[in-house]
Amino acid sequence: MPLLLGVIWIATRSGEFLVVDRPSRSDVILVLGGDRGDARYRRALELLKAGYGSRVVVNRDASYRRFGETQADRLRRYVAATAGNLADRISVCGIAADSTVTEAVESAGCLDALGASSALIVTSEYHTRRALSTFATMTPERQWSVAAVREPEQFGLRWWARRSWTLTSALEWEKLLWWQLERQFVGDDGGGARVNTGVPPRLQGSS
Amino acid sequence: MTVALLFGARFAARSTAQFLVVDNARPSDAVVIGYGPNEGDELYWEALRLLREEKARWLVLSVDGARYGPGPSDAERAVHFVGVTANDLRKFVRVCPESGESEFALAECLDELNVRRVLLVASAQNSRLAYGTYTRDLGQYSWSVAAVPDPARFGRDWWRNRRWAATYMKTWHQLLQQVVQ
Repeated sequence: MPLLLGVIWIATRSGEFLVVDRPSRSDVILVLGGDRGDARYRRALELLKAGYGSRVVVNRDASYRRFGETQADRLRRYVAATAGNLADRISVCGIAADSTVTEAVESAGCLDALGASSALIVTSEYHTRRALSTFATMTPERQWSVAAVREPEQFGLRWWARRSWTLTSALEWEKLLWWQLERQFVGDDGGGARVNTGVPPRLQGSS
Repeated sequence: MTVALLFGARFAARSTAQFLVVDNARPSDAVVIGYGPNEGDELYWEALRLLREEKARWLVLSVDGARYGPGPSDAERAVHFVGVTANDLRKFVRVCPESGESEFALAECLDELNVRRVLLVASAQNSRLAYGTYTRDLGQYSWSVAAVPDPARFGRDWWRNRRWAATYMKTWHQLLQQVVQ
């Protein structure tokens, strides 16, 4: 019986384990790709205004074009239209990543171009633990922290309360466990160099 | 025995990848593109090719009609793009602006053109998923699929390539989500 209660207790806390929300002042605020709307970008603007960084880099896919325009191109237009007088402090990093590991490798080039020795990651709250672990493992020479973005449509700590939350939690737990396994093979030498995505990242201002 | 087991496992692994692919294209009234994540104009080019080969009378592009910022909307860009890339076919291409529930906007466009049979163009890895979505949401039409190979992202021997494996896992997850929902 105590064992069963223990399992239930752990299960009910498993959503919380996925979330890390400890932003630190950094050289750059890095917004990870995969933003379904603009919640991550908006949070980054808040953090920029609050002085958590002096620049924002937003990762966005530049590997494919739809009607002649990449997601990165589209985001540049959006930033120019919405960031006001902060626009010149926001850059879009064109990447081709379809996983957090490759994103960590590709965004390194954009952060290097800005001379960033520390970076604050902004991502969805369920993704924060894995993202922080991945970036810290792939590029350990930089100081990392993370800020969580709440997206109640997708995820809540009480993962059992909604079907979409349950699915997101299950998928994220699977990815986290895979990453923990994969991490053993990356090693301590910043194994990012071994992951060749074939597309060099490009850093461009929004305007 | 071990060799037989290995062959069996390989066959099973390949079969589960092959299951994700539906490729049963039939002549239809209209071609519609079913984009998956991070998929772009290669599907548009394939749809244009099918239109040129008269596999369908119409190409209907379902595109976000919302405007983000001062520039053109996706729908406006699509109209411009069609003019630049397929001017000779422009009168056979309809851009259908989505707003919210995209299936309803698409259905209106298809109904305006008296479409009954639709040929869906989708990447190989996304073909079953897209087919399932469209037949569920727009079951009043008769659907078939033209699967477009995407060797950079997906292959039957998915365990040989990290990116293929990631695509395989993601697509199976989405397929299971579709079943659960």
